[in-house]
Amino acid sequence: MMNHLLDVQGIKKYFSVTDFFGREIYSIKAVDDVSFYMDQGEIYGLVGESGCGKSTLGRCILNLIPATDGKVILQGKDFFSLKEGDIKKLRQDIQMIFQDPYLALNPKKRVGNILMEVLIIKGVADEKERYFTALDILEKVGLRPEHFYRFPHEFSGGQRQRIGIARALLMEPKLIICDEPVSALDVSIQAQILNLLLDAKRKMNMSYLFVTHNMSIVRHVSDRIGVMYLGHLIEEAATDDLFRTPQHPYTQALLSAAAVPNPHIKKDRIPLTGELPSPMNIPAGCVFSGRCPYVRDDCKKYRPTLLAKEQTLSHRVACFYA
Amino acid sequence: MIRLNEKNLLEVDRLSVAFKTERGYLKAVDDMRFCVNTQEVLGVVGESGCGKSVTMQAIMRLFDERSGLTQYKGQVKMHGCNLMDIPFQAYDKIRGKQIAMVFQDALSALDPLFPIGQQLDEALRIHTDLDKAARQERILQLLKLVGINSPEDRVNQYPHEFSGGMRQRIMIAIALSCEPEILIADEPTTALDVTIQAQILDLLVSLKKRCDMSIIFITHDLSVVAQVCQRVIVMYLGQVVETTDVCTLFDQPLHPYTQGLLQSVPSLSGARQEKLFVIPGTVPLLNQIPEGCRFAPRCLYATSLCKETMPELEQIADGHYVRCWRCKKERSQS
Repeated sequence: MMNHLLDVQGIKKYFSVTDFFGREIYSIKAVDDVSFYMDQGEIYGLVGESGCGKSTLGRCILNLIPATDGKVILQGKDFFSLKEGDIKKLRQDIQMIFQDPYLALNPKKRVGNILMEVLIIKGVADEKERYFTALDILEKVGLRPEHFYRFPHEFSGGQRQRIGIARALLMEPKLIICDEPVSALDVSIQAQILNLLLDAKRKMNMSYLFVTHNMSIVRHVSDRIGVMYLGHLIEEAATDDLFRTPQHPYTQALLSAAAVPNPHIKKDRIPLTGELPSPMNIPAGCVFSGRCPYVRDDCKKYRPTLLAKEQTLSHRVACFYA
Repeated sequence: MIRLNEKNLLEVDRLSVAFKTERGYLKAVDDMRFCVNTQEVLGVVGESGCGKSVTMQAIMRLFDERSGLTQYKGQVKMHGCNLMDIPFQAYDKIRGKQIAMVFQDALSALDPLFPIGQQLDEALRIHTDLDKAARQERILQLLKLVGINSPEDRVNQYPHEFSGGMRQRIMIAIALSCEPEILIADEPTTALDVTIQAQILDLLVSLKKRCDMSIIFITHDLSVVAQVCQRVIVMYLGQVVETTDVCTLFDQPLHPYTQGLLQSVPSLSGARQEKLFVIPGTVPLLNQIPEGCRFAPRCLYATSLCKETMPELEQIADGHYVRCWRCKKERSQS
């Protein structure tokens, strides 16, 4: 417990749906009792299909949306119990990179000002120093000094994402939450951005919480991976473990469904019938029981918890029969 | 150039599409040549802005050319007649009937104000002379064909009542309703989750066999190409840079752009790489198209010849066409 950079304990996020008078009709369990930890210098990949709550979880950790229940402990400090001012200070240690870099940048501000604003918040008093630090970071993320006075709309998608990354790095955070940072980019640009992120990590001993739906990207970047399904963490393992011996039926299906860029391999897909149920009516037992090919009676009655498998303690699965 | 044979269903010859802008006409697609064989899945890959969707929309004549905002040159031949010569009004008879299209975003392609049954009915009403009862029966048949359970209940539902994967199935049902010879699928699975993507890809491949049609599959995802296509066209900045069958493309890509694309995707098996291969630079804007080879500014092997003169799309091996000076030189040496 002691040395973890980030400890997420039992995070829950319920969105309540209310009627005309503000009475709750039902609640949508977007994230339900998720716990995991991250070490300094580690990349933790969070995968799952759309609607599984992976982005919501990322936002809850940053307290961008308040969690319903649970604790986020960053370097031994409980993030949620802090006072307003302290939260601001601690938040400097966690930054975020968003999926759509255009929406994340103020269209009315020049890139230089976007970056220097971060330094004002960080408390760099000297204007000259702010200017040179911002210029320096631009160069580090592969942009040129003349880009300093341009507006976000003058850039391509890949360049905008570089600006987003520059802004996050300026704060010299301990942890960056990357919410699908390359999903909106073309293949050749994706590789550039992934390399940039990994370079920055190596140089600054950064940690990333890497949220994505792309299995080959998560395999490339992550040290450990958590698989989410309907708001629950259903499997967690070191990257190579997960890809070699996936235990949960959902992980197995997810990996088998991912298309391989090789025409000679015709994979036997594990067919998943049906689609992700809506988070409004989550099955009573195991969340995956509705689509699981190996479902038994117990699965429909009781919900399995995330438990370590005997062989490797770091490999945790939420399934009775895995 | 590309030889005509009896297998060719559709032949596109030197097609170019230009859009009118303040700075004159911008060529989004230039000198496009390819053919579609019967009963095949032809993949068209390229990054955004390379003109893959524009080419298909030009074949479907979806741009209103009467306003003068779009200019076409070249020919699109099907059954020996040039589709580009057909008057715009008369093209309604072909669009949806002989060539049909499935779009990426099914929610915006379907009309939110009408139940899906009516939207399926529309195509049948225009293109066939079936009576109402026969059309109704055909609609239920189609929905069953694309894997929608209890179609009797679902025909009267609205698009928002379906999930993303189901909407895409409905789009496919509409496209198939008049038994087209060619189905153009424009990034049909890009907006979907992996498990749903797998379902839709399987569906398209099985429908191809059952309905005896060819599919043009537009995508930017090379792994999807590897799964479903027989032949592939790689596009860069409005031009075809390489065409060949899918195995050759993945085993021996010849154009530096194709090689770069294949290497920059992280793999799902084997050892994990430390660093991904990167194609330097970015795709230039359409009004800054380089002279000579369009890929030359980003190419590792570019010579002065590449920067000055545009290479032609030439046959390097049987059915393998490449637009590259280096490949041509290597072939003439060997």
